[in-house]
Amino acid sequence: MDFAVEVERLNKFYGKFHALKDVSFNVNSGEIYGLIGPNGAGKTTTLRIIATLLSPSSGVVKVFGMNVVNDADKVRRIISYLPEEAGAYKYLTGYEYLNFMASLYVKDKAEVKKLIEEAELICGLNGRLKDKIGTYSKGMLRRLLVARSLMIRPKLAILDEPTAGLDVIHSQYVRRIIKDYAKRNNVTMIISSHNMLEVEYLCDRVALIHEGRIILEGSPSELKNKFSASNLEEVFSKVVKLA
Amino acid sequence: MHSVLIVILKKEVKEMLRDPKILIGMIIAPVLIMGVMSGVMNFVMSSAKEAVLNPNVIIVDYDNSLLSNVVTSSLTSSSGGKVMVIGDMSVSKAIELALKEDFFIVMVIPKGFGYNVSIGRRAIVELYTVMKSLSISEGGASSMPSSIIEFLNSEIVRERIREVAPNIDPEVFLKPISRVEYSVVKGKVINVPPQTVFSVVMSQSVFIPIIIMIIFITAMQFASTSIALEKEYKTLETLLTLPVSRFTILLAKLMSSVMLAVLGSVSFMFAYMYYYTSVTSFGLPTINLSLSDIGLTMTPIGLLLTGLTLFLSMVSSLVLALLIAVFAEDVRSAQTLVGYLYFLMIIPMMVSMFTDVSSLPMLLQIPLYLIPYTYTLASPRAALLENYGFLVIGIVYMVVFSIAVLYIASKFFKSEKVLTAKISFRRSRR
Repeated sequence: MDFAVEVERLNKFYGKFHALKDVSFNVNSGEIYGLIGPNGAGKTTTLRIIATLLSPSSGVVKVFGMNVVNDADKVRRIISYLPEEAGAYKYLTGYEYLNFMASLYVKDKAEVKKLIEEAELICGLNGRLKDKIGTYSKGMLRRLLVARSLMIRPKLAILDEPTAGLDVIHSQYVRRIIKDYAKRNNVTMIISSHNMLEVEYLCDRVALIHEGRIILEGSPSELKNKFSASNLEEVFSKVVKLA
Repeated sequence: MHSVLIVILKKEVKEMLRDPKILIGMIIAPVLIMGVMSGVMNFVMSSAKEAVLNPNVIIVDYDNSLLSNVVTSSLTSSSGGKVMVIGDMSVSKAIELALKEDFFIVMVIPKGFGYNVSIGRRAIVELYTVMKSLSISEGGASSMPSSIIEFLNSEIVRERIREVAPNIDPEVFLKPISRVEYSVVKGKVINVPPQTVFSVVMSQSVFIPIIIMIIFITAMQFASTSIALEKEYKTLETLLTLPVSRFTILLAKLMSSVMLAVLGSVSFMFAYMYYYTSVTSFGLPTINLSLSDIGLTMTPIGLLLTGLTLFLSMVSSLVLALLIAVFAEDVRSAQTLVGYLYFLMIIPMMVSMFTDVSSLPMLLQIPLYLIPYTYTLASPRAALLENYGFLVIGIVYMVVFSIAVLYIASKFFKSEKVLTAKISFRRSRR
């Protein structure tokens, strides 16, 4: 079976610091895959490598069969990456921002319009899209950015902490649009989070990452059963103690 | 790729024009500052002019002779200011009066003044200049009475000569040798003294480097800010995962910086021209000549080569600024780092203001010619003197320099160093 994402014995060094230690996992096509773990565990580094931003120190990473180092340009055509704490150009309006992003993927004006309409549906910002991004709240900005990353119908969406720093209402909204979109469009997604409940709600399978190593992998229900835990948080604390 | 470049360029221009910091700091403020400066200078200059041409004078005439009357009446008629003639007042009282009533000069004609002149003895006139503000206009006005005395001196000598030798033109005795000056510029003889040529060229060679420097600094700040802002607003990571080549992103940033530089230059040029003409219209009345009046005109080739030199040095400095900004973590750090580049400009600027680089010892020439701005600053003079060889060498060097820097910059843009290289001037944070 061809995987959407293949990560094989991935290592990453920042100078002497060994950030990723032999990380290996596969993501099936159409699956929402979650990377969970505390801050500094190596989630963002893994996602940045898959998103072609960083190069691996060793190991192989493939996205739909394409190597993220050698075929970086091709990979960028089919992925969409939402960094943690990402910003947007504050002097552009929400609409102009979406127009700018859409125009980088499609040339035809009618196509651009379609993508923007899709984004409008996803973010639900309605009239506020005509306002400058500088006037948006954190939650509104995140909704715009999620819409930006999904409107282009990527084959793989990489979302780093999609709800970090948002209030309950905005977090729920963002989670819902991600789940709805994935179901509707059969998009493969990799999501990182330190919010275990969020991951449990969104993901088909999860990997627990701790100090640069994957220490556990499986579907949320499998993991909960295995450790007789009521939620992933409990699973995580039990596994970390064992490790 | 072409259409993607335009898409990014459009975004850059939109952001640039909407950012009040850029609009005010780089386009509006220079014009305003120049406008205010020229207004203030005009006011100061015109009031100084007033004071120079129309000083208020008290003449204390103890002599009251025919000659002293000639002096007082010629001063009264030639001065636009107040002239008060007093016959019986002590010098100290006259000075007191001058201090109180805004008189600038107290001129004392002692008793025996007319008599001494008539018998061929040297006569004396005392001049007391009241220095209230120690300003330039006071200095200028103080020459007024002495020039009248000069005039009287030569008139008296002429009169004497006429008495002794009525058939000879007194000028022959006064100035037996008179000079007619020419300058030879670019092998052509022109009917202008060399001091004038020098003054005109100097005023241009001071004017041009300042303009170039200010425009370059402005554009470099903008270029580095545009990269640093992507980091500060956390938009760079997204930008780098889009299906756009890193080179295109760099090129779009470069092009928008060049556009801003051109926009800034145009507004600044107009403001400076206005300032320059309004100040020099008074300040340098004798050098009211342009370069073309003294035969120094640029040929179309010279103009083209100078333009090309300016453009290339702008491109190379902007690429250098972009490259440097890659290492900075935020806007403030980027601007500090770019600030170090100014030394590269200031050194050749100082040199080119005072001397010609080629006249320096070889050991100094080599490092100076490695700095692209040396060619930029020397290019107008080289073009005027039709030294095209120098211009071509400069252009070739700057093309090589720009390509090299562009290459290094795009290498950095392609590597993960864009994200991981960080120099911060704030306190370090995790």
